[in-house]
Amino acid sequence: MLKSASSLAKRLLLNSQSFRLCSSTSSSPVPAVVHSEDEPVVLESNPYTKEPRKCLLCSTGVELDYKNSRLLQVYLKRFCQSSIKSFQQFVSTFSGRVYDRHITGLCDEQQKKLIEAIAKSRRAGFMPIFVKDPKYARDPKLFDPLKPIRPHSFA
Amino acid sequence: MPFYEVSMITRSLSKADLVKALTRAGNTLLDHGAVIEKVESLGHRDLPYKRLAKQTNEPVYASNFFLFKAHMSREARQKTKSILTHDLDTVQVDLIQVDTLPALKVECNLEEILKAPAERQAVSDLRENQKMGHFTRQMIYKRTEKEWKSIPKSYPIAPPRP
Repeated sequence: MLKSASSLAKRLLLNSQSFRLCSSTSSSPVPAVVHSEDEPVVLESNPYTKEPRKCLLCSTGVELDYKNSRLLQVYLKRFCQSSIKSFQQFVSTFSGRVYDRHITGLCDEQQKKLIEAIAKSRRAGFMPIFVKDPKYARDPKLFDPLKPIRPHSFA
Repeated sequence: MPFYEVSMITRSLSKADLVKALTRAGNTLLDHGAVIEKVESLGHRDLPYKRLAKQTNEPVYASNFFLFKAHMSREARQKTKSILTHDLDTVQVDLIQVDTLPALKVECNLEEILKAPAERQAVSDLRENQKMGHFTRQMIYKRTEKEWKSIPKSYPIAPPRP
């Protein structure tokens, strides 16, 4: 009932032409729309909207491949000359488990691909299973597992 | 026929033995009706962990990695996998299916993930189809009933008769 009343009021306010609130006021003629150069320009979208943020793999266009436990070094040379990022950065040094998406900061699709690629890589014997390869322990950090973007992946 | 990548890790072998092992692996694939597109060497690399060669039980720390790219049927995959894994010269063999279809372009949804839970579409979907306990359901029923009953259906004082 309250909702219907509010909707009625809204309708009255929005197009007052359709209702005659008072009997004394005669229906005024609709003013013709005049277009001139001095009129304010109405933009369709806000030009100051920021571009949507993208995850690391989407923004760089890096594709995950199970064959390289160090991920696509040719690609990565373009992004950072001095360092070679590795696949095993997505794996904990302590337990060898894959970090969850609240730590890796990847989108749903990329996180799914990452988990699949790591499983394949382990099955094919390219990657250790229980630990992170100590060779890659000193690779540059992509993210800090102690400072996740959210307290846990379901938050 | 599905497209497979056959990754093969051999035990440490001399060059002549390596050629023999590779031709043997290639021939087993071809005998089962596989179409080999490409054979690649991924190089002599350190293994991620120590492996033991079959029969001799020699430790393998580093060895040769090979990759066959082949089309074959699913039955052929099963058979060749068992043959290649039981080969004495291999340490690890895996046949992994690769999608040949072009991958669908999926938009990055990080922006959605970074929103507060109350604003996220996934959370609102969850809340819509939320399971409700019996007590909560009763409470909601009573509340709406009370609201409905509080609306006057008749005048408290009867209007004057005409």
